[in-house]
Amino acid sequence: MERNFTKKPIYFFSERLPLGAVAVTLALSLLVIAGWIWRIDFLLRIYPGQVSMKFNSALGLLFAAAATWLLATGAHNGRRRLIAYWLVLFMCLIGAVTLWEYISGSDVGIDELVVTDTSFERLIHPGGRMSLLAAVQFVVLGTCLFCWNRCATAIYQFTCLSLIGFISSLMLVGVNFINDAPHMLKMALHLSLGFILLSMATWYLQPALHDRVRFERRLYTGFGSVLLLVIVIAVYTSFNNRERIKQSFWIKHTSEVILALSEFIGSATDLKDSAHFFSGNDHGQLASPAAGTALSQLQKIKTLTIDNVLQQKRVDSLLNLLHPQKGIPFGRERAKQVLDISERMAAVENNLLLKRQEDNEKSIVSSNRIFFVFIVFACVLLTGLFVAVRYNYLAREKSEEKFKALLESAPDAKVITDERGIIQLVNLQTEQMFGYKREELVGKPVETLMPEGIGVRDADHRLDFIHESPMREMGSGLELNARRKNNSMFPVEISLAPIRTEEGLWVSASIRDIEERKKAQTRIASLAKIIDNTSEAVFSSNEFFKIMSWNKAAEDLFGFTEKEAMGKPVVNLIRPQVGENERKHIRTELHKAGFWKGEITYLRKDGAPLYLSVSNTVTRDPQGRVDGYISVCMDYSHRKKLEEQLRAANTELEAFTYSVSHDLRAPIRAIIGFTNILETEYTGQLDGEARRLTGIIKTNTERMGNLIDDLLGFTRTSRQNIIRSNISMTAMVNELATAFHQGYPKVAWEIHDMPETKADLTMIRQVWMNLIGNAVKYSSRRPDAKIEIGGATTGFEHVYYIRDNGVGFNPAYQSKLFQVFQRLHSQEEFEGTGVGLAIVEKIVSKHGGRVWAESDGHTGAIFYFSLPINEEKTNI
Amino acid sequence: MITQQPVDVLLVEDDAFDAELIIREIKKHGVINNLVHLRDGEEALNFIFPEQETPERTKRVLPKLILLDIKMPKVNGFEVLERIKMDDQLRKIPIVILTSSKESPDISRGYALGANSYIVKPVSFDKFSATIKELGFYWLLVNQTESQYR
Repeated sequence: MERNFTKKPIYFFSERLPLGAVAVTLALSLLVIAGWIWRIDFLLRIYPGQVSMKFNSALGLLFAAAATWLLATGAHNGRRRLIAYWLVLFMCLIGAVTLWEYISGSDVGIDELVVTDTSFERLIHPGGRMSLLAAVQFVVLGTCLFCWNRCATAIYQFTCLSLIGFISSLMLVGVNFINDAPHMLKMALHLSLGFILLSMATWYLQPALHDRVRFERRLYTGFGSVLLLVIVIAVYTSFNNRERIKQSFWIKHTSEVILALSEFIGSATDLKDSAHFFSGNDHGQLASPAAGTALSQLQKIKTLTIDNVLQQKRVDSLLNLLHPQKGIPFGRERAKQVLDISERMAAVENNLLLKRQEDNEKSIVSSNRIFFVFIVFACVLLTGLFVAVRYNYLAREKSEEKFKALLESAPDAKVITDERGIIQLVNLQTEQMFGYKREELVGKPVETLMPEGIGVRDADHRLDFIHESPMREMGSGLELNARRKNNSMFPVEISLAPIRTEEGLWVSASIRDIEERKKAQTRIASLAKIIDNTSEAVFSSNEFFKIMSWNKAAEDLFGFTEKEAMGKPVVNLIRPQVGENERKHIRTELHKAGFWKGEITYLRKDGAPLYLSVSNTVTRDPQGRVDGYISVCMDYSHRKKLEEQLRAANTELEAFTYSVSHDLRAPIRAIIGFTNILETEYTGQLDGEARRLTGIIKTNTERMGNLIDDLLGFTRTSRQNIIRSNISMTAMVNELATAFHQGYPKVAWEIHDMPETKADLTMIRQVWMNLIGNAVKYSSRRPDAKIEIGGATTGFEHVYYIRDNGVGFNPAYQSKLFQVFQRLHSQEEFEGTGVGLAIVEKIVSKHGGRVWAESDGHTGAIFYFSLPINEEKTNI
Repeated sequence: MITQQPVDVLLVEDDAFDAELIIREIKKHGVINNLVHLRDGEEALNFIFPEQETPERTKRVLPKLILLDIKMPKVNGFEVLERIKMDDQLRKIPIVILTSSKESPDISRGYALGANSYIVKPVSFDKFSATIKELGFYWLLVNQTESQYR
């Protein structure tokens, strides 16, 4: 989901549209140049009566458009860039030189360097000189193009290009129609259009800059434009009003003149009618009051028309006519002249009034139109701004809502910082992970959580991070240490993603606590080490039985290196010597139980067979499907050999025992038997010494027979299987004690209750017989012989003991007590073969128990044996 | 020692000294009139299952008791025991295994094949003597057999 943030934002103006605008500008400038060459007036001014686009302007526009095109399509190409920069330089030069001409008021000849301007503007404007605004705009546009794609100049470029666009729009819609506007400000219609297109294209062709200019700044620029427009309207209105006042004054003035004239004409008409009454007057004087009135009226007209030279002349001639002149009486003739002149004057003034009224009306219509256009322009601008603000607000609200939901639902702790690394937003997981409250974090530097920072502080670095590696994903290796509120540190993994927000470019850091994972990794690493160093061959295969891992022991055992083994099917590599049916069986077992243990013969690389004890385990994917197998192989060859040897030895031993029991006993029996015959049938011939000797022969032979019998009994015990049944130890011991009591009536018995056990009845009976027999044997010489037998349960085993007060044994030889044929007393002291206790030890250890004895060497001995409680399954 | 007399005891024993001791003891106690000693299983089989039907042997002389050793050359005691116990007529003869072996597999095999008794020869002479005496006494005088009433 985060990926969406990293996508190049889709602009309303894709790259093609601005490039198209550049192309249009290019064509426009070329057309104008053509228009200059072939003097096509339409191409120069489009609308008759408007100012024409000057040749230099067309040239500048051409350079600007060409440079923009080159920069937009191949800024990485050094050559193209260089050419573009040269073009921009020329354009700037044209603008700058023109500007100099305006400032200094001189003419350096650049204006008509190529073509001569013959248009009518020449009368009021230097020929071929472009508008002052155009010159300034060329220079400003040039600086912007020089800073192509430089992010640091984004705000400058935005301001300049907006201004160029705005002013040009203003020119396009308004100022060009104001006749009174200073001519040097006026720009040709298509030049304005060209500037608008170029400024917009230049901005939209540098998408890298867009993030750098926040929405607020754009808004300020928009409102600034509106403000500028309002100022322009105000200035224009005030200027217009002054004009209007002036005009209305003149209209009033003219009306006054006309009024005065009509009054004068009335008087003059009166004078004419009464002229014949004066004709008789020799003096020819206008002595009547009417004449005086006419004169004073004429005087008034003279002052009123002081601004009009022609009218003054007429007034003067009227004055002349009316003044009494010697010799020329004011007769009918003169009165007629006066009337004529004054009527002409009235006509002139009437015409003037008419013209002024007409002009006034025209001016009102024109200014109304301009006013209207400006207001509409301002309204459109304001509406646009309003819509933008509203849209932005809604979008932000919506995205903020979504963003917050996204943020809170994220499994990781998320910390969002602005470009300076100041925390702006955190989610619940962050609070939990770090132990801070939200309010404590917002506004703090990110170093509060991550002492090392997250590596996006530096602006250039950040841009690299955004443009070159659009996103650092989880697992891509940015591992840092984080600090909780309680100052404890813990390892985290961080992934970063840029977020374009209205406040600029923010950074979203997803933080994952990897303490557990680190531990797991350590564990896995140590496990891997163990697997690599274990003496068992361990290899794993995938579900198709192709080898996926191969440890060192496997290399040594099978003779294949890891490289050779990887990816090979198990069957082809180490060739298990298993039939198809058995293989199927093993596989079924494996899938059913999850593991299989057994012995399989494999072949080494050199073909030698390997008898291996194999333990196979199934691995499953999260869906529970079998996705692989792990095999642990122990070299069984050695064990197998040993086992075979052991089996052979056992067979031999059995044969030996068999033959001993048969063949060895027969001669002994013969010796004893025949010695006995000798003793009984040749009694007379044997003297005392001979009898002693035959006695020795018999005793020794019998001892040998006993030894053989005991030895056979001992080996028989070793080979016998345990058949368990419940045994009441107390009953068994009592029964045996009774039996012994008959042979040794002097012995005192003390038999405690003992725990029952589950063991082999015959064997345990043998144990008690041997132990009781021993106790009786070694204590019977004492008159106060006493044997105590008991037992108890201690946790996991039953412990039984037999204590006698006999001769005991030397504790120094305790270790030899239970060895076969080991005797601690001489045959003379106590008879015995030294097998009884060895049999006891054998039986008890076969039951999983222990035997031990204590004695101080003179006051008797205690023999213990234990039988484990949970050993009921041991049937060796 | 093949005789025409009715045989009381057939002793199959390869060890000459053992055989002598047994015979001595048997005779000493005077229980047995006629004892035939055979040295191995082969001889025993030949004695019991004669190859030729000679007129003298048409009427088979059946011993009252067979004392059988196990470990013998050529044919061992078990084989002899098996053959005898497979014969409808002969199976009635009580067979006592008299051997040195105390090994339980031998004992169980002996009984499984139909031995009537299994006795381990004691090493001690006194015990040996007593055993032989009791043996003859039991099987020839105490034990009731079919043949005596035939």
